[in-house]
Amino acid sequence: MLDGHEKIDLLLGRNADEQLRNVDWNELSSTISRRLDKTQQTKTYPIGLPSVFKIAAGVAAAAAVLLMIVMIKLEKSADMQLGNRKGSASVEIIEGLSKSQVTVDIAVPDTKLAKCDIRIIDSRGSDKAGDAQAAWMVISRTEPLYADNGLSNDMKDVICLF
Amino acid sequence: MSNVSRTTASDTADLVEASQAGDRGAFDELVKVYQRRAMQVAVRVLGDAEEAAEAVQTAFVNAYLNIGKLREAKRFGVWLLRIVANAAISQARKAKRRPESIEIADRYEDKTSLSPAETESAKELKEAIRRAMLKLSKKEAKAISLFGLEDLSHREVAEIMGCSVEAVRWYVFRARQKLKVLLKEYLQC
Repeated sequence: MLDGHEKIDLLLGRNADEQLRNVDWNELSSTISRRLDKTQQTKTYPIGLPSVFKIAAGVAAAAAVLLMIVMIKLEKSADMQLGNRKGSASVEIIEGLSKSQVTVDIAVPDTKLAKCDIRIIDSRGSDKAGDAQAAWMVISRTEPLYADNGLSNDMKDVICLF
Repeated sequence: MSNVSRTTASDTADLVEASQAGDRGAFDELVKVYQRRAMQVAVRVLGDAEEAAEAVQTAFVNAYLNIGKLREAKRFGVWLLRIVANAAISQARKAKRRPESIEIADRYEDKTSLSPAETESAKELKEAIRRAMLKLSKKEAKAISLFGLEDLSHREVAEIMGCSVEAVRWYVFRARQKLKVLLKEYLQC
């Protein structure tokens, strides 16, 4: 007498045999072959290459995102350093003297106040002390590194100062 | 005797290596050699030859696309049956979501040798098995489907399923227990 488990195996086996009895194996292999043909037509690149492309694209995308994050952070950090504190400048020009004292706070920590001397040179004559040519003004001390935005912008800096 | 047993491991390995090198004819040969065993697995999961044929086609396409990843050519059989079992289970889950009233054209169905009553009874059994298999977990369905295959050792079944022989035995036991209840009216015949 068969137990339940053996009966189950027989039942499954019987059904499988029944189902497979009339399978046309040639037809099945031909159908598979046709599907492979279609697959081959759509597969235009060698096996393995797509994953290389995927990895390269992934790395490039990750690098781009990282770069954007760094740039945004840098921009924010600069805004926080300079944006939260307004700079100030005071200029004292004494009539008749060629030298004035200028103090500039350029919105960086207080310990790093930048100071510069400005000599106002009479444009109608020459500077007796230095034989400098008449000019509108000369900044005689270098500005701090964080305020240095290039030679071409020095004139703008001075204009802003006044 | 199955086609598989007539094909030696070295024949298979040669065909696999040729396929990996891009020889389509070699892969077609592998299809001819392994389609019967693939159908045996799929039909045990799906209970129906036509749906099994669908799953087997999908499995062979997947195998073809991924054959470059197979490291040991002689393990092709085990590797393929894993793909077939997964394709069949996946198809069974999809079929579950389809309305049952849809009848697919019957290319692989028996048309000649059974009486109308026998045909009806065979169809009923097929449908009952299909529904019962859907009540099993994926692992149980896979285990019971592979366990009954000739020429497939318990160790090979375990390898296909990616678990221990003991675990396979447990899944088979659980599957049989559930099927005994689900198919009880067919067991009394």
